[in-house]
Amino acid sequence: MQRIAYKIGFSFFLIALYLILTRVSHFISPHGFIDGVSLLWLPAFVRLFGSLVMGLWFIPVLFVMSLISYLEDNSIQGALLLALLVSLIVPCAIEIARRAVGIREDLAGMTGRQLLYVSIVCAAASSLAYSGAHFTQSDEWQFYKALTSAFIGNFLGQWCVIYTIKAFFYAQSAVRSRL
Amino acid sequence: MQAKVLNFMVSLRRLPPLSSLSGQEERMLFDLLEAHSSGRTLLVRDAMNLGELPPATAYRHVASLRKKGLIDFLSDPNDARKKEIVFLAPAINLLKQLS
Repeated sequence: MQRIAYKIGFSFFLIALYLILTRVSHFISPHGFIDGVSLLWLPAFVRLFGSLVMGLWFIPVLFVMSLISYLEDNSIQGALLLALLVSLIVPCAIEIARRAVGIREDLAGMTGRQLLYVSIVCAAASSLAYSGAHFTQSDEWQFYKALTSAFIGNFLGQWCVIYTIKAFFYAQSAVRSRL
Repeated sequence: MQAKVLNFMVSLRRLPPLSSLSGQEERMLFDLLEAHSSGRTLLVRDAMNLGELPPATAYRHVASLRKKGLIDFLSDPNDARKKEIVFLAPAINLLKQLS
C-alpha cells in the first residue's frame, strides 16, 4: 500500500517537474526554436529519469504529462497522437537500452558512459516520436530537419539538468566540508 | 523505487568533472572500506579480486587512490610481497562527507 502511495506521489512530482521545466525551457530560450522545435528542451530529463526509475510504469505518467504539455499548442487529436507515440516509444526504448548497456535494474553503479548511451537513445526515441507524429499530421512538416533539432534539444536539455543537479551536489559537499 | 532514485542521484554526483574521484575509483574505495569493515587485514592482492573488475583495472584504481592520498600500502616485514592497505584521513573524511 505504502509502495503504491509512493509511486502515485512520485508520479505527481514528475508531472509537476515536467511542466515546470517546460515553462523554464520556454523562458530561457524564447528564440532558441527551429520551426517550433526547441534546441534546449529541459523536460527531456524527466523522460529519462522517469523511465529509468519507474520502468514501463512510466508510460501512463508520461502520457498524462505529455498530453498536458502538447495541448498548449496543438489540436486535441494532434496532442493525443503526440502524447501516445512519445509515451509508448520512449520508455520502451530506454528499457531496451538499459538492458543493452548493462545497467542494473536498481540502477546501482551506473557509470557516466552508460548514462550517456541511454540519454542518446532517449533523445533519439523522443525526437523520432515527436517528429513522426507531426509528420503524419502535416505534409509541410520537415521531418529530418525537425528530427535533428528535436534530437539536439532533447540531448542538450537532459544534460543541462543532469549537470545542474551535479553542480548542486558539488556545492552541497563543498559547504559540508567547510563546516 | 526509493533505492533507484538514490542510485540515480549517486551516479549523477559521480559524473566528471568537479569530483576528486572518478566513479570507478569511488566505488573501489567503498568496496575496500566494506571489505575492511569485516575486520580482516586487507591486502592489495585481495583488492584486485574485489567486485567485477578485471584484476589489472582494479589495481589501477587502487594505485590511483594511493596516488590521491586516500590509502597507503604497508609492506609486511616478513614478506615483502604482501602489501596491506591502510586508509588515510582523507578517505575517512570523504566517507563522512558522503554519508
